[in-house]
Order: sequence, then C-alpha cells, then structure tokens
Amino acid sequence: MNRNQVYPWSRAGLCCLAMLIWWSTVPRVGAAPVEAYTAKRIWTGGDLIVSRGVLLVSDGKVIKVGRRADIQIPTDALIHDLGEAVIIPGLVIAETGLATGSRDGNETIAPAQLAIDGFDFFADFDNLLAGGVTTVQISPGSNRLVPGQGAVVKLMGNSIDQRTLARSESLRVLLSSSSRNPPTIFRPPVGAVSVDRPLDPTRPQLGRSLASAVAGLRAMFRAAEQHVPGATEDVDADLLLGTIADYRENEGTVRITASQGAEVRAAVALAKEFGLRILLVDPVDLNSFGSRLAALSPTVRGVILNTTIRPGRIDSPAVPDKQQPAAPLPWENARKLVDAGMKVGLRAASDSDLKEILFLAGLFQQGGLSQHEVLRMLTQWPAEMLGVEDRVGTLEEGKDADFVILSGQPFHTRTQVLATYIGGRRRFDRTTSEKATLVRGAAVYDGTGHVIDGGSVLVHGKLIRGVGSDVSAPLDAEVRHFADGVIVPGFIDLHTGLGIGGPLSGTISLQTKLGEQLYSGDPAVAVARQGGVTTVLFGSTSSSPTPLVAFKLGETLRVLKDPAALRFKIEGNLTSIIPALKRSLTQAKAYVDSWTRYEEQHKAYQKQMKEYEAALAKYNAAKKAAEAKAAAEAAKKEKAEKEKAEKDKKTTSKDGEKTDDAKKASAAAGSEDEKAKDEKTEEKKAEEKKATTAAGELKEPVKPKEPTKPKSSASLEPYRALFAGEIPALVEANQANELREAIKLLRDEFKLRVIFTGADDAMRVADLLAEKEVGVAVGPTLVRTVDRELVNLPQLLSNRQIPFAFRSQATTGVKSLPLAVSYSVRKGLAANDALTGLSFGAARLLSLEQQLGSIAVGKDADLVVLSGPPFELSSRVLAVMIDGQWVYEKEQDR
Amino acid sequence: MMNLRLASLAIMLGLLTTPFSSAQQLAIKAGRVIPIVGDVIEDGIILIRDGKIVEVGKDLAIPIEAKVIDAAGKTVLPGFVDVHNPSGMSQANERNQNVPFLSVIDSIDPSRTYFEESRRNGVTTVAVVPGNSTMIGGQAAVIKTAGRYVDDMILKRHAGIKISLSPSSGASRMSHLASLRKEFEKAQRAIKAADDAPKDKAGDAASKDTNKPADATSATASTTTPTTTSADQQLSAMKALLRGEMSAFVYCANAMDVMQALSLTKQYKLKTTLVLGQECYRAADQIAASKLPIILSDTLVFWKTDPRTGDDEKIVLPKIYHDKKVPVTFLVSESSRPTLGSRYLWYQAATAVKYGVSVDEALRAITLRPAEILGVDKFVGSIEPGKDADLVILSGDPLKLKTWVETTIVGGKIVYEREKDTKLRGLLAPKAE
Repeated sequence: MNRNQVYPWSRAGLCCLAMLIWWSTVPRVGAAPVEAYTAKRIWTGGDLIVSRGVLLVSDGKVIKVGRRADIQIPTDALIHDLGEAVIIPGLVIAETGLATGSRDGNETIAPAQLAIDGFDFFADFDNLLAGGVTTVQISPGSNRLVPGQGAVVKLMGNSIDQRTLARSESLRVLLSSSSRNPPTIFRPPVGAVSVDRPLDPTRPQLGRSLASAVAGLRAMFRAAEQHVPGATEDVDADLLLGTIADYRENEGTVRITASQGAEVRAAVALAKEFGLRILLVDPVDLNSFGSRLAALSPTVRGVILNTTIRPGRIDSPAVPDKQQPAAPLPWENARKLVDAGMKVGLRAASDSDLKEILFLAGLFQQGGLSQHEVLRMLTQWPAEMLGVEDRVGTLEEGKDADFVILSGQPFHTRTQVLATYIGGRRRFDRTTSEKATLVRGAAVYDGTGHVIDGGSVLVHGKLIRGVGSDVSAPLDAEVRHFADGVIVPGFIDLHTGLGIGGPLSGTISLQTKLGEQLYSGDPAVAVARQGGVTTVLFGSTSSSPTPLVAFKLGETLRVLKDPAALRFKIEGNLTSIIPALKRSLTQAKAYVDSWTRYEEQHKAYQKQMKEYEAALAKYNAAKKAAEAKAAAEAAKKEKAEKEKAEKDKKTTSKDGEKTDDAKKASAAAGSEDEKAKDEKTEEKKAEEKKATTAAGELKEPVKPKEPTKPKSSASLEPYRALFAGEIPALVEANQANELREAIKLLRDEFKLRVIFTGADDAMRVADLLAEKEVGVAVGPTLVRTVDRELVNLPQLLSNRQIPFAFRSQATTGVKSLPLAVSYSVRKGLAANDALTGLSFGAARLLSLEQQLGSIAVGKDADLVVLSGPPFELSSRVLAVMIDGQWVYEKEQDR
Repeated sequence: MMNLRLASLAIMLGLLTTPFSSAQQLAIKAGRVIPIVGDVIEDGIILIRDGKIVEVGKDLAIPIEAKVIDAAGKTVLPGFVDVHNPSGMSQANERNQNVPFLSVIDSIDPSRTYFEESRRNGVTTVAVVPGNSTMIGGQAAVIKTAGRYVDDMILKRHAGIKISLSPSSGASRMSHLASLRKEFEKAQRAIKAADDAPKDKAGDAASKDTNKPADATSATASTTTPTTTSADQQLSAMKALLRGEMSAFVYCANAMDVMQALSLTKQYKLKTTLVLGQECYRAADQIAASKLPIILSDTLVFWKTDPRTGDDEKIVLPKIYHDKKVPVTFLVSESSRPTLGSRYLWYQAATAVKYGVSVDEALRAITLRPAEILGVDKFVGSIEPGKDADLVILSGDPLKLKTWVETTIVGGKIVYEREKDTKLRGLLAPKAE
C-alpha cells in the first residue's frame, strides 16, 4: 500500500499551535520540524522489530523509533501514515564498483589511487534507490594487486560532504585470479628529462602466480613497516609506502578479495603476519578453516559474500567433479559465518544487479538464515564493517534518517520498495499513476457459486484482469492485502430509491430518461455502498408503466443501462388493470411491430441496394467495354472504307466514263454502309437498352422499396427493447392470482421476460414460475410468517431453481440489504445461493451478467472485501471497490 | 553617408601621411564611448598617445598634431578579451601528460587566420591556453591579436598553467587524479625541502629569480636561462603554481570534476580559474560557493533529455550561473564547429543577454572580467587613461546582430577596418550595394 497520507495542520490548528508557543515559557528545542512515519512494522536493522511503530525524523536524523503506543508524537509533527507498509533502514552494500568507470592503471601496486576520485556524485542512481540501496562502499579497480583505496558514500544527499561517509575506507588487495594478470612490464610515463634525471626505466611487474602475488604483498608490507617518511629521495616510493604505513599504523582496514581456499588462507596468513585487520571479500571455499572460523574474528573484521546469482538469468555451472567438490552456495557460507559469530555483508555479482539486492539477499533464506539475519547483512553488519555505523545501518536515535518503505515483509517475493529516504528526504518514490491493484484475501467468492481459497484479484483500470489463488500481476501493482478478507462481487439491488438525492416528483412517464437526472452528491449513496451494494436500479413506484435505470454507486454515479427494465404494477382490481394493461401493451406491440417490420424491410432493402450497386458497377463496366469495342470497330471500318474509297477512286480514274455510276455505286455503297452503321448503332442501342433495362430491373424497384419509417414515439420507444427481450419487465405483483394473471398476460401473450418484484405469494405459484422461467426480486421483507408458518421466500425459490434477486426499495437502507439477506441465510438459505442472488443472479436477470455480477476476468471491478465468509454474523465490510476505485474503506484500527 | 565617407577619407589620409610617427597621437571622436568602468559618455573623445589612452571625456581639446578618427554615430568599446583559446597555437595538446614547463608562446603563429578573424570581430587580447586533453598541459600566455612577431604581441608571458581533470584516453579517473596529486606532492616536497635547507637559500633564491615566471615584465626570463634543464623547469613551474605565482586553468569536463578541482584548489591553495564543460552546470551551487572565476563552455544553450521521463529540458548556461550570481566569462568555439554564432565572443555575450543577463554585465564579461582573471586588467579591459589603446569602434549598439566592427585599434594602431576588409567584402559581395 502506498498511501502517504499527510494530515497537514488546519489553519485553526496552526493558530492554536502558535498560541501555545507564544504562551509557553520554555523555549522550544530544535527548530527543525519533526516528521513522523507510522507503519505496520519497523525493522530497525538491529535487534528490534517494532510492530505498529512510529519513526520520528527531524533535521535528517532519527530522533526516536518505537511502538506507536509508547511514543508521544509531537503535536506539531507532520504525520505520514504508511498504513500496511514496512520500514527498514536504507541498505548498505559492503562493496561495489560504482566508482571505477574506466580502466585500471598500469601499476600493479597503486595504493595512492582513491576510489572516491572516480565516483560521480552528480550521477543518477535512481535505479539503485529504487532497490532500497542508500549507502555503498566504492572500490577502486579490480584487476590489479593493490588497485587503491575504497570509500563509503551515500547515493544521494544534501551535500557532497554529507554524502561522503569515509574518504579512505580500506586499502584494497586482490588475491583472486582477476588481479594476477598485470601488464608484465610497467612503463613509467615519459616526463621531462635531463642528464642527471634520465627517463625512468621500465620495470617488470609481479608474476601471475598466487605465490608471487603474496610475495609482492609481503615485500610491500615489510617495506612499509620499515618506512620512514621523507627518508627516501624517490617521491613515488615514499608516497606508496607512506600510504600503506598509514593504514597499518591507524589500524585501517585492508580489504582482501580471495575466493579459493589457498587465496583465503594466504589472506588470513598475511593479515596475521602483519597484524592487519581485514575484510574478506568473495570467499567461496571456507572448508579449510573448519570449526576454527570463529577464531578468525579478531583478524577478520567481516566477510563480504558475493551473491553470485544474477536475477533472471540462467547459468550453467560446471558439472560436478568427484575430485573437486561443488562450490558451496553463498548462503551456506553465510550460515556458517553467522554461526561462527562473524559479520557478513553482501555484494552483487554485478553492479547492475544492485537494484535487486533485496531479491538476491532474500535467497539467503534458503541457507536457513532468518529474515532478521538477512536484513542485518544488508544494514547493520556492512555499516560496522565499513566503520560508518555511527551514521547508517540501523534506525536508532541520532543516526541518519535513511530508510526504505516496503510494501510488505522485507524478503517476501512480491515485496516492493515503495519509497527510499536519505537524510529524512524522499529520494525515490514509486509513481502511483494508472497502475494495477492487486487485492488479496483469504478467499474469493466469485458470485457464481465458486470459491477460490487464498484468492487474489488483479484490477487494472475499471476491469478485473486476473482472478485466482495466485495471480500474475505487474511489478508495480499496488497490493492491498486483507489477511482474513473474503472478496465477493459487488452486490446488486433491484430496486432502490437512490439516484436523485431525494424522492421522485412529478409524473414519470416511459420517455423519462432517469439516467440524465442522477445526482452524484447524495450522501445516502455513500451510506448505501458501505453495505457492499455497488449497482442499483432506480425508478418510480407508481402504478403506470415506468422505466428503471441501472447505475453504479461510484463517486460519480455511472449509468449502466437506461432504461434497464420497465416496471409494471399488477395489483388491486385486476378486472380493470389487466385489460388496460393489455390495451397499452397491444398498442405498444403494434408500434414495436411496425418498427420491427420496417427494420426487416430496411434490412432487405439494404441487401438489395448492395446487390443493385454491384450489378450497376458490373453493368457500367460492361457498357464501357462495349463502347470501347464499338469505337474500335468503327475506327476499323472507317479505315477500311477509306481504303476502299481510295481503291474506288483509282478505279474511277481508270475508267472515267463510269465515274458517275461508280460514284453512285459508291454512294449507294456508302448509304448501305451507313445503313449498316445504323443497324449497328441500333443494335448497340438495343444492347444498351438491354443493359439499362437489366440495370433498371434493379434500379426501378429501389425507390418504391425504400421502406417508410414508422412514426417515432418517445413514450413507446422503451417497449422496443422490452419486446426484443433486451430488458425485462419488472412486475410488481404479490398475490397468487396477480402473479398468475401477470404471467398469462405478459409472459404468455406478449412473450416478455418477466421478473416479479415483491411476489409475496410466489411460493404458491412456484410451479408456474419454475415452468415459465420467471425470476423474482425478493424484498424488502425476505422472511415472513404466513399462517403461523415461516416463509423464507429466497430459500423456497432457490430450492425450486427459480432465479431470484433482492431489492430493498430503500435509500440509505440499501446498506442493510446484505444484512436482511443474512437473516434469510440464518433461516435456511444457502450462503452461496444468497451471494449469487445478490450478484450474478441479479445481473443475469438484468441481462448485465456479461459486465458485472461476478468476479471473472474482463468483468467490471466491483468488489466487496468482507472480514470473513459472507453472511457470517461476524463478517463486516472492510472495503468496497467500484469500477476499480476504492469507494469505501473501513478505518483500520491500527 | 557623407560622414562615413569623410571619416574613411580622413582615416586613409591619416594613414598615408603619418605612417610611423614616434609620438603618435590619435583622437577618436565617438558618438558614444562605453568605457566599461564608469558611465557611458555620449559624444565622447578619446585621446591616445604612444599607444596608451591619455584622456577620455567630453569636449576635450584635441591636439593639433593628433590624427582624428571621426566615429560620430558609432560606439567605442574597449577591445574584447578572449579569456581562453588554444586556436593561436599550431597544436593544442601534448601527448606527454605532464608538461608544465612548456609555453604556448613557442607554438604561436601570428599569421594564423585566427588572429585576423579575432581583429575582425573586435578581439584585441587573447589568452592562448593549451587544450583540454593534457593532464598538466603547459603555460598559457596573454597576447595581443595584432603583430607580426610573437614577441611583439606578448602581454603576459606566464599567464597560468593548464590542468585537465579529464583523463586521457585509456586512463581511469582514479589514476589520472592519483598521478596529478603525486605531481603536486612532489612539488610541495621540493618547496618544503627548499624552505628547510637554509644553506641553499641563496642559490634557490637566485634560481627563483631567474625563473620567476609570474612577472609579466620579465619577458626574457626563460629565453635567457639556457642552463636549467627541463626537469628543473618542470619542477619550478609546478613550484610557481603551488606558490601562487602562477594561476591554474583547471578544465572540468563533468560536474564531478568540479568537485575535484575545488578540493585540489583548497588542498594546494591554487589560484584557479575553472574551465567548465557544459555538463558542469549541475555543480553550479558548489561553483557559486567557491567564488572562483569561471569560463563557460562554448555551447551556451543546449537540450538535455531526461533518461527516465524522456522530457527534453533546455539548459541555458548563462542563465543558470546568472541566477546563482556567478560572474561568467565566455569561450568561443574553434572555427571547425558548424555553428557559426558561438565562434564570436560578442555573439556569446549577446546570447547571455537574450536569456536575461544585462548588457552591461555581458559586455563586462568579454572585456574587463577576462582581463582581471588573466591579471592584465592594468593594461586592457576598459577605456581608462593609462591603459593600452585597444579599442573597437562599432557601427551601432553593441551586441546587436546588425552592428559591425568598423575599426579595431590595438596599441593605438588601426589593425582592422571594415572598409578595407576585402575578404569580408568578398563574402558579402552578392548583397553589397
């Protein structure tokens, strides 16, 4: 849970405070404001786990930590209620390579190099802060025997001075194989030369074996032992040895990286020989020490273990060899060391994994380490090893207010860092925008009769995205955990007086759109949803047919369907009511039928239109092709004629006498040609006609076949949905004969979907109801005594397989609907059936079951969290969610 | 433009008639004089004799023998001072990482177009400083931009040592700083040894005398002491640095380098001028607190993308430092850069004005302030009697795009005239009237 609710002082409060200060004769100590963080648990990093704790912070320091009951929170303190969250100290990582960036130097022994020189205080460490890391040791390079001195810094802070906890924390020595490959010849940089000061000669560096490395170190330490500052002319050597001598004299820490058994032994031997206090880094093989591990403690200040595992990666370790036993897992070593009373710190195999250090450290629980011990490996112990325990590592009075807010217990799989504070200021905050919510409880009752034990529901946006005993969820999902909570679907009330913030006035006709009149500011709605009701129907109770609107009880009332049902009342003088209703229904039916007919016709018309359009396109294409063909033919003919004419001309010139005849003949031929042409064009025309008539066959009936729209009537319009079966008819009828008549008229004659409301005598016509598949919305009285016999109507209906739901006809009383149902449960109704009636059954009666009424993927996120199984007398409503938003949460008694 | 023609005629005549008179006198009748120190003088007159400014004021009597430059309607400013520029050298960086004994003077070529370009843009004084890639990169010198031989141009021979905190390629920051510290340590020990040994005091003093680098007047110091070896020179240069006789130009590529520069400055009591890379603005608070003089990167305005949100943020360096009340000076980019504007000092100042810095402040940042940083404010940087007659005559208001440098005067000599600038004319030929 990530609710950082801040309750700032009201203006009046501030005034009072100012007056208090004014009156107080004792000057206030410490002008810095106090901030109080209250959380479910505070792990101080030391021995303490404080339940329902409070952490007081002022001026970047912890001023007090303890149980909320024991600590007086100053009246002017700014209180941050972190709810279910857990506070742990900011994590301290005993070794990182965050300072190095580029390569190591050339010298194999370079103690003057400072890691802090390579640390960028301006760099962005947000991803580490997101992992809860606040303080890190930074090491110089990792590929030389003595690469330099480490430092301890915070990843954020007000000033660089405050962030630097130790400039020279330790002298680093690497005995592991990575350091044993220096450039074999060290070539000193070319400087200014003269006769008496020639170029420095190149020097061979140490060899590649462990023996030569240890020999080199021994020589170095021995030389440092005998070192007299300033005695030598050689400034380089003087500086080098001076640095090491300083470490020895001041009992500075030497950090020795040694993995294999031989390396570890060599490291310890060196330490003993020269009286060094060492930190052992990366040891894997500790077997050679056997039970004597504890005896190492004065020499070995602490051990830093490599977590080795890379989160999310799969490595293939070497196949086990009989001669070479498999390397112990880091947590096995951790267990051994902790048992031997050694301090253990952790480092990640790669700096890029530091952000997942909580995950990596959590794996150490596999070695049988408690959460407490694992947390110590990330807080108190490394702080002590690094010599910065006066500032960080635990949450104690006077220490820096570096802490991490977690969503749950520190090393649980899903626990997330919600925020990270350094020096009392928030440096990292998981953003809460548009994220998923994971609601967890002891069980999920999905509304259709299924129960999922240990259920979780993932909500994203307005919808449910996952249901199950364990649900896949995005990493940043906000987790709401209700320890014994039972998650049920939001309840549905089939008729209430809620909606417009008061009683309906004026005539409500069928054309009234109640959805447009809904008023979201009604305090009664807030009361109603405390009972767990999330969806209600609202409408008039008059005797004439009226619409009912379905809406959700969210912060703003959301209309689901308007109208969601039509309400009829069949009560009283049936001889007049039934014919009147029949008349109006007949009229309505006629109206609906005219529209149905029109729609059918229109559909057919549209289909024909489509066919016609296709045909027309086809025809047009054919026509074009034909025209083109004709034009081509005509051109051909013309050409031929021309040729012919030329030929004729030739013949006429040959035979001058016959010119006239020929002319005539040619003219005749021409006219014949023309005739032929005419015929052709006629043919063409005919063809065209044919085509057009062919098209016309489709085209002509279009306009007559365009169906005329029937006259629209707003007052009759709702009936269309009713007759189409999209919405049910809610029929208020109580007596048996009313129920029968209603079924006869509405169900049999007009084929409507009928739901009886009230239906006090339903048990008398149960057979009929069951046969006709008519539902019943029971209420407001569920259990009555009729003829000195207890009638629990829901139970009766349930046993006859008659679908039923509930209605309250109340306003604020909607809250009590589940309570009324629980009485019915007490009197014999199955809890599961009762729940179905309140949720899925009701939704199905309203044809809304695709959208709500059950807890299933894709449904609206309307959830009710109960403190126990539904309809148990002890069960309370803990929280209500509508459309993915929490609309009611019971105040936790923290 | 009768005036202009007359003026140019006068200048030409003046040049023709009195080319090299021993007691040269010059009078500038300016439409406006912005002396940087003191109030703006409308219709002011500047009297110059022997390359120095004699008098500045209104209605001064112009000596009969003085050549008169009529700059009516124009603005006269002190010549601009470029506080840090390696362009005068043939090669900016050394391969050897430790060369405090080198001097840029040996590398300056007065015939480089850089100098011509400087005069064209009103820059009369420049500190030639080694580049950013050498750890201890030689000594800077302050020179005038006009002259045929380097020795004639020198204003200050030992103007400071360039130190770069950015490791050379292949080295890590740690080893870079460790070796830098080692050099300082060596020099400090040498100083201590010299102080502790009373016997050698005379000799040391003598050597100190001959090597005294910070003295601007001892122009011949290093050329006349051939007996000392370069190793000695190296040490003596470092000693001069640690004794505060020479200032340090410390180049910081990143904000983290600024912290190192400040701690080194504190530890070794250096007289530091910070040469800032564009990323250094993130350490602006620390820079402001240190009160050290700073030189901004040549890119004054740039965009940065937030790695997480992807939002682009416009970073305006002059504004950031102005808001923190840090007096700034500007760097001009080297001529190979594609962006034209940042190659000009006046453009950099105008950019600052665009983002809220006052014109006075911006003008000071390219004249008097750099002169102060370089320790040559006795000679240049403002129009005051006694100072070198290094002047710029502008066609209009300073820092305006349409304003041209009409005339540049260095040491009382006209070294640039727009009318005679054939190259500029060639460049603008298509649009010339």
